[in-house]
Amino acid sequence: MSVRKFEPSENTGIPEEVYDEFIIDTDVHLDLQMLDDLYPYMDDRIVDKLDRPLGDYQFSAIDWLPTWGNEGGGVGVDSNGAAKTGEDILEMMEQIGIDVPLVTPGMNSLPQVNYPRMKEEVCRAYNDYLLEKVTSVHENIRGQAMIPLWDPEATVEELERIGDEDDIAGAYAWFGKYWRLGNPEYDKVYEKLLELDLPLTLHLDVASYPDPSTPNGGAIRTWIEAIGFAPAMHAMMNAVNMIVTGVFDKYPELNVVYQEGGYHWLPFVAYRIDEFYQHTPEDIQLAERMYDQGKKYLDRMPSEYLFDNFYFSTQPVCLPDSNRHYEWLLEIEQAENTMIFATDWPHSTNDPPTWIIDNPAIDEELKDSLFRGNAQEVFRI
Amino acid sequence: MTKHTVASVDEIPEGEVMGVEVDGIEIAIVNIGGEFYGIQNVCLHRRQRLHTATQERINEEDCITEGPGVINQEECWMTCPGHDWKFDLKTGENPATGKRMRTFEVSTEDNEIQVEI
Repeated sequence: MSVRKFEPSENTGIPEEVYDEFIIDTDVHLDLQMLDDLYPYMDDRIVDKLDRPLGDYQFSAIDWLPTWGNEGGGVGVDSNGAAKTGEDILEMMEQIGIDVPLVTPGMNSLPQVNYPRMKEEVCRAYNDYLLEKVTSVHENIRGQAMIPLWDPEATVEELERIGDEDDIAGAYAWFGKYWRLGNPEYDKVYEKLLELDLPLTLHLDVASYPDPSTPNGGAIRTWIEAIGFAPAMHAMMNAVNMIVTGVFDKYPELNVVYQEGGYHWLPFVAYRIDEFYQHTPEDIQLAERMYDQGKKYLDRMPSEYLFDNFYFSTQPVCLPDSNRHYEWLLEIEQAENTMIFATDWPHSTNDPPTWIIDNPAIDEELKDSLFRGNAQEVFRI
Repeated sequence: MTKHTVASVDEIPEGEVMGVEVDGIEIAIVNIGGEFYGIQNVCLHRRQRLHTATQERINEEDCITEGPGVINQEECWMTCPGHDWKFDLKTGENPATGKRMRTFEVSTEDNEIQVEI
């Protein structure tokens, strides 16, 4: 008989094979609670408002949290830790088996704050902090710059300021309810991103949750609905909006990465958008971007843009019980060209790389695409 | 069934968990108010390990709530540190779905914790 005891930090479920793989993790969050760490990088007028009792109230006024949805009793953002520095990220890399983390912010309530100058200042401060305290610690740690997407001018300004830094691999914003990115005012953002060779990363934010002031939002009762489905609806709508208003006809090299927006909806949207495009294509010419270019129709079938210009982070991976069904999904979703691995560490829905290792539906070629190939193609790394 | 000594009683304080491997079988031993319970250590969801439920996290002092997993002594359940799946430690059952993890008989004798396999 052999008996072995494990220390809490030992045998965590990450198999050795994970450490043998070169893995790019495209969604590794810094801590949510680090607003005050950014004060040294902010204008004093903003710090004066934030650094007082309940000074961050607009950041934390959130309609939906998992607090009542699981027994952890938490908000789900620090289930596995609270990284603030590059040293913390190095520790995470060692624990999970990540080689290149593309660090993302934790402040996903930022779009709902009502003062544009305040949240633009938070973006600037975050990006300076990211470059100074996080990515500078190790050459493998790269960051995604947080951009103020509520204001295309401010976004361009921020990208001009820090977008060509070597440690910036992408431009991070959100796919929530506040904007539809087919609006032509975003063209200047797309032009700047292309100039910098950066993808637009769109992450779930608290504004993706159902709006309680609407009949649908008011009817929702569970975190399952709030986190699982309303955000995916915004992700779908943003993708369709960008496609049918001609964003990718004008900018065929533009890449968009969805994080936590789901992806098993890909076949649904692909078939449906093509069906409706063939049935009712005649008002596309009225969309501003199409009209101004004198274009009547899209250059390609709509679903082709979905599979060519969009990428989808894998987390949260929702695996069917049937391996055969998963193989079908991966094929239909063109996973070898569309999926990129992400843990979403340290959030409660995080996926370590374990589910890819030894998954019979994922062959070596697909594993290579998921763990690194697609990320290397889309991010500036 | 054979009893295997896996640890001494004082190695697992109340509300804590230890992971052990007996002849290749991983078991999480949990101390609930002085009673010890054994449940399969490998979560049926994503194979994460239950014994890491009380692992200290990066910047633990900055974390808002407990984690990564939770051990509830009053109701005798714990959650997997991976994705919060909840398991009754007496039955191994996930109460929401009825999915079940294997449980093991655990007893103590002369300050030793023994697991029956």
